[in-house]
Formats: sequence, structure tokens, C-alpha cells
Amino acid sequence: MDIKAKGEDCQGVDLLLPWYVSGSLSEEEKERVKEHLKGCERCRRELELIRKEREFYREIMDEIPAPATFPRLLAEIERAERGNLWQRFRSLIKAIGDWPRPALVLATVQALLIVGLITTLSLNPWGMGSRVYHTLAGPEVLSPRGPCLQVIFQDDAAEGAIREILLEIGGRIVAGPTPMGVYLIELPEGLDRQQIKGIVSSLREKKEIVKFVEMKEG
Amino acid sequence: MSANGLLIEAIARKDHEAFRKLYERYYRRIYLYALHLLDEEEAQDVVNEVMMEIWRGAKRFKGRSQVSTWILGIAANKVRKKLRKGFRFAGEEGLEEVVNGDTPPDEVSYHSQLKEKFKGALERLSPKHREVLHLAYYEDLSVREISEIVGCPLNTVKTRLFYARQRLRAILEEMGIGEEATWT
Repeated sequence: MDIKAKGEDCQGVDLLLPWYVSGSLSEEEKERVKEHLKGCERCRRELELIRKEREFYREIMDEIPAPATFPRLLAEIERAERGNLWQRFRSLIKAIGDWPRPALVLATVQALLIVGLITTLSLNPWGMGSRVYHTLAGPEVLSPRGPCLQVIFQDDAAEGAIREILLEIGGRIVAGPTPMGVYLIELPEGLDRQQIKGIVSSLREKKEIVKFVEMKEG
Repeated sequence: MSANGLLIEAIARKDHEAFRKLYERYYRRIYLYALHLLDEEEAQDVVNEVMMEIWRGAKRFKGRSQVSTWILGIAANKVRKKLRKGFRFAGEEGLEEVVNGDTPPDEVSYHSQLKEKFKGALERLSPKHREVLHLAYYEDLSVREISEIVGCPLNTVKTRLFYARQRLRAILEEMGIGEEATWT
């Protein structure tokens, strides 16, 4: 069909019909289309066809499954933010190169003192407690064998409440918190997907303690 | 400010919960938009790249446009970048599966057959036609919003959708489905 000829016949109203159907025309345009439709059989037929096409199209779209990629997204953000820290560190090193000489000497002395202090303390000359302090805040320290969940707790969640949840689901924290506040919680081995989904749903209901929970794939 | 605008503000303050909510609201829409132009894996990548950009750049949202227009605009840029790099939509292979499928016709309802053929016809449209059809039919965006997302004048949006629909009908006719088909 020749668009110009059609447009001239119907003063371009036919071009607006899809937006008339979706209700996104301005009041003025809507009135123009409404008036035109009263006297144009062809545009009325066209309008009906657009309605059907649109409905059919939406039905098709609604059936397409869209995989949730949130856990992967979180992992990517964390990787990127770790990258940013490294970049900041590098730019700091670069900036140090531009410092005046006395400041540089002072900073070097300070750095040596700090390194010396850390070395002395790590040798534990006074024999107090464990020689190495293990924190879960670093990279993954335990290799989980069972299925895992990624969980973000509410900022004001009490430790006792978190412990209760862990007992309830039989889970244990194997990593975290990451800079995004994500904990990796290992569930008992042998749970099937349905059981894990059940645990995820039950955790999602505890909104006052759990801010976010997602199954960790792979 | 709209509810989505408030979410963006919260994300700018690095609020994880707001980010998760926005993700839940938009990931499907971004995915379906990208899926018209790319394959499934690439479409998933687009979802994550868009969300990542929102996480990092929520501060840049000034509220001059709708949140959905802003987000789909970011998605459009990501898709265009991938198309330039040579990623392509599966295209007509999908159609062949549909038309020459092994499923005996009498086992499939008329409606599902029609739907499959319609899908096949959509896949034969050009990326530009698919894009504008999706934004108008599924996203219900106005002419102005679509023009912002696809980056072309208002009149081009109108005529592009007109041609997309003409082309869709021509393909459906080739497939033996005329205007008289009972679509719903």
C-alpha cells in the first residue's frame, strides 16, 4: 500500500491508530482520530485489526520465559567494584609519585613502621590467642559442598535472629559479607530443587530479617 | 516523583533493596525488548549490562523522561553496540522450525498454530520494524518516547510502524493467513 496516498486520504490519522489503541495520544490527537473514525470505514477496520494484532502480540510475549539473572548480576557488580578498588589503589600509587620529597620520606617511614608492626603482631611474641585471625569478610574461605543461597540480611537484623534462621534451615555461612553485603549460605547436601525453593520462599517471608535471597546457580 | 523515580533515587544512594525491586520490575521488559534483536544469551547479557549501568549511574537520571524510557533507551544502546559487533538475531531459522515443524497439524489447536506462524512472521521482520512494533504494542510507549529510545524523528516512528505492520501482514498472507483470520 502506498503510504503517501493512504496518508493523504486519511490526513495521517491512520498512522496514529496504534497509539490510539494504546491510549498514548494527546487529547487533541485523540479527538482528531475519534472524529475521523466516525466517517471512515477503512480506518475503523484497520483499528479493529490493530487491536487484534496487539492482543495477539502481547499474548505471545507473555508466554516467553525470561530467565532471572540477578545472582549473576550481583556477582558481576562485585567483580566490577573490586576492580574499582584496585584502580583507586593504582591511582593513589601514581599520585604518591608527585609528592614533594620530605612528604615522600615521611610516608615511606610510616609505611615501614606499619609493616613492621603488622609483622611483629603476626609473629605473636606474647603468645596470646590464635596466631591468625580468620574473618569471613574476605574471599571464600570454605568450599561449599551442598546447594548455596545468596542472602542479604536487613541492616538492623540481630545476630540472634540470623542464627535462628540458620538453625531453622540447617544452613551455615560459608562466605561473606561481600562489599554488596551478600552472604553465601550452604544448605545441607541432598536437598532437591523443590526443597530449596521452599527454603527460599520461607526466607523471603522473613522480610524483617532477610532483605534478599536467591538460589546460587552452578 | 513517580514510584520508579524514587527507586532510582534510592539506587543512587546504593540501596540494594531498591535495586532488587527495580530489577524485578524491569528485567523481563528489558529481556523481551533485547530478544527481538539478539539471541537469548545476548539478551540476558543486555539485561545485566543495563542493570549494571543503572547501579553505577542512577545519579545521572534527572527525571526529565519516564524511568521506563530511560531504561529502554540504555537497553537500545547496548543492543545497537552488540549489533555493531556482529551479534545477530536467529532470524529465519526460527521460522523454518515453525513452518516445517514435525508436529502433526491436527494435534495442535488452530490458535496455537496461528500463534506459531505469527511468531515466525515477526522473526522475518527487519530489526528496526520488530523494535518499533514491540515498543508500541507491548510497551505501550507514545510516539515521543519511542523516538527518544530509537533515536529518530517522530514522523519516522509513525511511518516505521506503519511499514512494519504492512510487512507483517504481507508475510502472514504469504503464510496463508489473511486479514480474515480469527486471531483471538
